Amino acid sequence: MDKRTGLTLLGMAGFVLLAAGSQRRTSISTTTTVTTSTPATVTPTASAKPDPEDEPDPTTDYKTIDDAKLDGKKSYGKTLLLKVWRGSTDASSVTLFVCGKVGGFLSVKYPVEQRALVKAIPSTIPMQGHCPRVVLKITGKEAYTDDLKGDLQKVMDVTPKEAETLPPGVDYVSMDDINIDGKKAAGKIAQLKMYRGSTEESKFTGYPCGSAGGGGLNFVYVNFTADQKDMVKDISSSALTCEPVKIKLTTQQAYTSTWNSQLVGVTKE
Amino acid sequence: MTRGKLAAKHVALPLALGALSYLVWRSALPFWPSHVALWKSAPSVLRDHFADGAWGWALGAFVSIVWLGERTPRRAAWIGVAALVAGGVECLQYAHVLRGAFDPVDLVVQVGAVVLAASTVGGTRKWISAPV
Repeated sequence: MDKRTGLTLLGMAGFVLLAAGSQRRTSISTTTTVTTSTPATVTPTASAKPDPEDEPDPTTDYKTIDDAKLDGKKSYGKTLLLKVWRGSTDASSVTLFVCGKVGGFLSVKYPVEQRALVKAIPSTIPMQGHCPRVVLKITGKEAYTDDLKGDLQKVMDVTPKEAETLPPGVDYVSMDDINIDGKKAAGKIAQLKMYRGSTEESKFTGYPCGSAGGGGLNFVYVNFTADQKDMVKDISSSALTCEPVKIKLTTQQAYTSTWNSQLVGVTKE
Repeated sequence: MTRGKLAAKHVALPLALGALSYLVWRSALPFWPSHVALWKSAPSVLRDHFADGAWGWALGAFVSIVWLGERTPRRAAWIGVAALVAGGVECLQYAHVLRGAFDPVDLVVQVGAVVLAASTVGGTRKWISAPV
């Protein structure tokens, strides 16, 4: 075997290993099996287990959005099992994105008693872990698109996320809770670990870090006065060094739902 | 351009970009302001296929660079092997030998990227009819 052939074979083996490694880390395959004959036997319980392997899949009518869509209106009232992560989340609804290459999403209503479980659904695609399973009841389709909507019945594989411990005088410590409360959050104080993005004369974009973030909108506009400029300069502009910044939520923009706020102070840790 | 520079540009860079795409489109890293959840239609192409295309390009370029200046039939044969490897990786997912979901779009993207890279990388020195 000459040198070039050896190098080529070695390189190809490396590429195959790289591909296999990346699949292990990132690909979460979705099953395409459909169960159409057995009606749903799910209950809206709040039980959850941290290990997805512990509990078998519940019996549902569909296991992919596509299968439900193909049944058209017949799918309304039937149940759907999906592995998901979540996007925009408010007090009563959440956008659930399907894990895996098949993709898709749907908007789902949830009761207040499932809020802790909804919050426990990852707000980004899990890099290595499993996406939690959820059971939904399809209620119809969105007014202007072909996207289905539904009611959340069961969240599996997660432990309910308990309420955050709030420092004195602070109403929120995560964007998740702010988004969930919606307009009710106006006028309240949030203390979020964040870093400073785009900065203008009297405003900067704050990006919450780690647990201060959440599903959906993950930044906030922070207004500041001329005498707060030095304080703003002290806020890190690097995602690697986030600091607790206290802000007063003022208004929520009409179409984007982005929050405007007023800088209150920076808490040094 | 030397082989080293070609390899940096067409092998290392695409692999780095592919890895970066995983971080940007699939991770919880907070540096990306346009949160993926807010971008409902565009990311599927970037999230699901960009890295595969970059990987295919790097593989095709690697083989092409190694066999730069070699006779056309031999070089073409190795590029064919590389294309088979690229397709094989996806087919092994279909057969559940490799973990992951088989996606026909990935198959086309990966094999296409190998062929495209192999026929592009190397400039004027890429194909010769006589041995060096």
